[in-house]
Formats: sequence, structure tokens, C-alpha cells
Amino acid sequence: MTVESLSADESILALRAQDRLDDALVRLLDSYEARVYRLCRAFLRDPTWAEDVAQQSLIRIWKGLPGFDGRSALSTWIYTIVRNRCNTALRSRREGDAADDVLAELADEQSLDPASSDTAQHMARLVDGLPEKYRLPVVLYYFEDESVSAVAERLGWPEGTVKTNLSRARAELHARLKAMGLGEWTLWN
Amino acid sequence: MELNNGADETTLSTQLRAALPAPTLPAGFRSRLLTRMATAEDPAQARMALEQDWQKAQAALRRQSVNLRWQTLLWLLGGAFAAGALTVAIMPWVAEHYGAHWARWVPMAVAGFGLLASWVGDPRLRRYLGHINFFGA
Repeated sequence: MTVESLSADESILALRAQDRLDDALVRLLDSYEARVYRLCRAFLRDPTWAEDVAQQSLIRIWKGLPGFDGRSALSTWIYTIVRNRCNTALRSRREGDAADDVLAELADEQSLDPASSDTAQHMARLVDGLPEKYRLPVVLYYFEDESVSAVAERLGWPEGTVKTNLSRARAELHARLKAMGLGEWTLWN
Repeated sequence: MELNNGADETTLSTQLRAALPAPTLPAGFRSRLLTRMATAEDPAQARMALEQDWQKAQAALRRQSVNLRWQTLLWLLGGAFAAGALTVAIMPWVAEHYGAHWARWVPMAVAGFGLLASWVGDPRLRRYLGHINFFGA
């Protein structure tokens, strides 16, 4: 069996085991760098911060690959590392910064202008204001081609939980829009 | 709270799709990553390198210590030999010119001067000599 006939994950591991390090690294990055970056963007929002943490994660993944024991799927192991890195990065951010962010978000929400043509920006701000358990699946759902299974894999949640939280997030968004007098969709179109 | 109807659901989905486009990788992401990988320090390798440096430093210190001991021993032997040779050479001359009395006191005075100089120069010797009770209890 040749490496080319294997799945992406299997070929990464096979190339790494054969000490074809350059090939293994290229295959790993081709398969995962964009997904890792999107996951970091979903968690951290800020593009520069997300790039930094995504790169840290990929370096950690590459260095840890020889120790990968195969007890879970490679993708599961990778996304666990990325989530841990993102959570560590979020925790390490100072309390003062976090409080400032929340205040800025509240100010943004209150200043929404229904007459504005930039409805996508308004919607993005509303999504940003959702609790994390709703915001993350919503953001990832649209980042990952509206695939519930992909969201579940990235977050390490059961698919049922993802579906439930997506549904609740939509309801919450709708409620917030109504509360702001923006329930009529015609205003947005 | 549930959405009222399918139309709301569809409209909301459309809005969300427009609001949350999948982010693309920043330009140069991979080249920056590869540069960072090349310079990233592996903690295990760094620890190993530090341990090797520490072991090398320890070995160098041990070598220096042994060399110093040999050097000290050779200086002592050489000094003792030189002192003996000098004594053999000058004592007959001292005894002949100043009498047997001076032949006893000159070596003692020189030895005393040597001890005093060492006591001033070497704190360890000063400490050891301080413990000796020359005049009994």
C-alpha cells in the first residue's frame, strides 16, 4: 500500500513514521492549517491573535506528532490541542481587557442603526454578544460550510448538543432583534 | 423562544451566512509558520542542552581542582626542597660567622615569618591556627 492511497490523516502519520518529515509537514499543513486557523478565529475573534495561537498550536502539533498514540482520531487530537491553546490564550488575557471588550460590545449593540446598509456587520456584532456556548457553534457552523458534524468535531461536542445550541442561538438572536425593534426582516433587506 | 416560521429561519440563516464568511488564511501564513518552526525552541532539547552544558562545566571544574591540588603539592615539595637546600648551604656559613646560637634562631625566625605571612594572606590558615592553643589550657 502506498502513502498516496491512504487517507490524509493516515498519510501524515505514515510519512512521519518513515521519517519523510518535509512531506509529512506539508501534508499536515495542507490538511489542517486553514481549519486550525478558522477554529482559532472562532474562539479568539481577533485575526492577529488567532494567527499567533494557530501557529503555536501547529508547532505544538508537529512536535507532539511522534508521541501521538492513535487512541483517538488524529483530527480529534489536533482540535483538542487547538482548543486548549485557545482557552489558555483567553485565560491569560487580563481581566481589565476582557471587561473593556464586554463594554465595547454592549456599546456596539446599543448603537445599532436599523437604517444602516451594513446589516452583515450588525448581525456579526449581535452574534459576538451571544453567550460562548451559543456563539461558538453559530460561528463555526458558517465557517465550516454549515456542517453540524464538522462543528461537533472541532468543538469536541456531541452533534445533538451542537444542533440544540444552534437552535437556541437562533432563537436568542431573533429575540434580541425583536427587543431592539429589528424583528421585521424587511428592515434588513 | 422559538422562531415563528420557516421564513424567519431562512432569512436569519441568510443574514448569518452573510455576516459570518469563513475567514481565509492570512497571506504569508505558512512562510511565517515555517520560519517560526525553524526557530522555535523545543523545551526538551533546551533542557538537554542545558544539562550537557552543566555537565561540561562540572567536568572542567573537577579538572581545574585536580590541577590545583597537583600544583599546590608540587609547590610545597619544591619549597621544602629549596628551604632544605638553602639551610644546608647557609647554615655552616651562619654558624661560622655568628656562632651556633644564631644557627638555631635564624631558621626559626624564617619559619615564623613564613607562618605569619601565610596567616595574613590565607584566611583558612588563619582559621586553623586560631584553633590551636599554643600555650596549653
